[in-house]
Amino acid sequence: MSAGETIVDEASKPSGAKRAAVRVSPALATGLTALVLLLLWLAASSLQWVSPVFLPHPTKVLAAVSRLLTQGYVDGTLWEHAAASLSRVFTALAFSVLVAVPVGLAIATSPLGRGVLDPLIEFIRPLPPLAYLPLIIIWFGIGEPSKVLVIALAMVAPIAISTAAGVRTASQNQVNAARSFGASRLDVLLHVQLPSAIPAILTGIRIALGAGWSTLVAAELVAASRGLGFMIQSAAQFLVTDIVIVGIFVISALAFAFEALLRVVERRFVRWSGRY
Amino acid sequence: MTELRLNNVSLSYSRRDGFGPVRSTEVLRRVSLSLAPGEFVAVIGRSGSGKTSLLNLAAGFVAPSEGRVTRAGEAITGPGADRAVVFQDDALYPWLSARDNVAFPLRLAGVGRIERRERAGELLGQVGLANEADRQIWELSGGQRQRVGIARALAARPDFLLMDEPLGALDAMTRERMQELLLGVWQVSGAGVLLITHSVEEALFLGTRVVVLAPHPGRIVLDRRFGFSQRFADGEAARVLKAAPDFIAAREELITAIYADETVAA
Repeated sequence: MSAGETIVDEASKPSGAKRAAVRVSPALATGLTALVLLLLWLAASSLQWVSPVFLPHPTKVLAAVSRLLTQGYVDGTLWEHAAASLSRVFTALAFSVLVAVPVGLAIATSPLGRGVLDPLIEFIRPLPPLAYLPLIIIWFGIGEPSKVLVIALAMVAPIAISTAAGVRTASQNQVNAARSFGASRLDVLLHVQLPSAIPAILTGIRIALGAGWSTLVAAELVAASRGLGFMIQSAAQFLVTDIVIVGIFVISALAFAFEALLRVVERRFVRWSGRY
Repeated sequence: MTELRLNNVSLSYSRRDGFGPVRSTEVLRRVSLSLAPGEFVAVIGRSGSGKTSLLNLAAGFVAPSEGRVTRAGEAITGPGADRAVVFQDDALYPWLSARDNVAFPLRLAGVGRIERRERAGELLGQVGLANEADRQIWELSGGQRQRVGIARALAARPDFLLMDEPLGALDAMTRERMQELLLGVWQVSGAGVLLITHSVEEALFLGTRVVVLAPHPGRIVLDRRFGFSQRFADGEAARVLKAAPDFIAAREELITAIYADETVAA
């Protein structure tokens, strides 16, 4: 390689090389962040910066995972606890969709609906689940319905509000076009306003699932015998922090998985959203 | 008589800004207009002359403040499938394919799935979109969308087609072709057409009648028959027709009528 060539190379490349060095892909950044946090955790527990009671060693947590899968904890394996929580969250989701979508439609399309329902939705929206949990137990007992109800209550507001906002994305002309083809108010609602609201409803469901998972632990505070929230609380009472950490990771992974699934559903079934 | 008639119709909107007094804006004043099946009435006027309000009244989207809107002598109380509307912003349903958009009025009328898909396909063929029937709306160009909108309105088998600047958002080339398509569609369907436009040339070329509205408040200042669309149907070429001396003379006359009350200000 001659000196001349080197000069040409250096003259043409530096700016490109610098830019390449600055440009980091988000996936790489995510991976590095996870790695750094894991190394910090490893260091903190290996070098005993904090007591193992507060922060167990990662290998201990891994051991807890296998123990949970085979022997289980507080009368249930990890699968059984996860299944119990999943069924609560998704039963609650089904009920809240059945209630919240019609509520959202009513708020958006009828002055009476807005007058009656909007204040109710705004009333429950900011309430922390722990605040109304005692009342629900007094009213409905300590059985499964109370747990589902607590979660469902947290999910209703985001879905109803998103539905109402979504209905309003149908343009006046889209509504008027249907009317000029002979559509009744119900036809307009079912064939124009509801379909336009679907992308917003899916967004509402994503937000609601987030609220649902955060309410889960509160719901399982009372007289549960299965569930990830129950498992975490039982473990916490005996300072079994490795189980607590496993529980946190499992809830996070489940929530992440369903979020990803919903994004796929969104891309697959409402391809028109944002393109028209 | 099955004609659509606006009888001495006025339209005012009441508006209140904040806590100020209620203001009433008169959009149309004592407008009388009739539209018979098979007629093509082009309405033209400056902005603020109430063109769209006129169409909204005929469609039944709004009720007049004074006067009557009637269909075959019966008062119109709301929109109906006998008066299908085409909008400037196409107002299609993006969650449906082109075919299902066109089939939408048929679905409302209770036509079975197989038959309505077939008829929607035929109508799309009629507007030159036979190959795009199963495309999604967002895959179509502006001109193609507007043709879907026209096919959809035709699917309702209306006695009257009400069109609010349907070609307003299209480029000049597409627009000329669409004008010829509109004439073809009108002749085949036999419907009475009310076309709102802001192109004088378009109004003259398409209308068997041209109505000029003046603003503040909107009122009719000219209502005259023209025969250019018939001459096109008889085989005269569109560009030749639009360059003919009598076409140009008529165009200048309409422009004078449109701006008649502005000469003082200018």
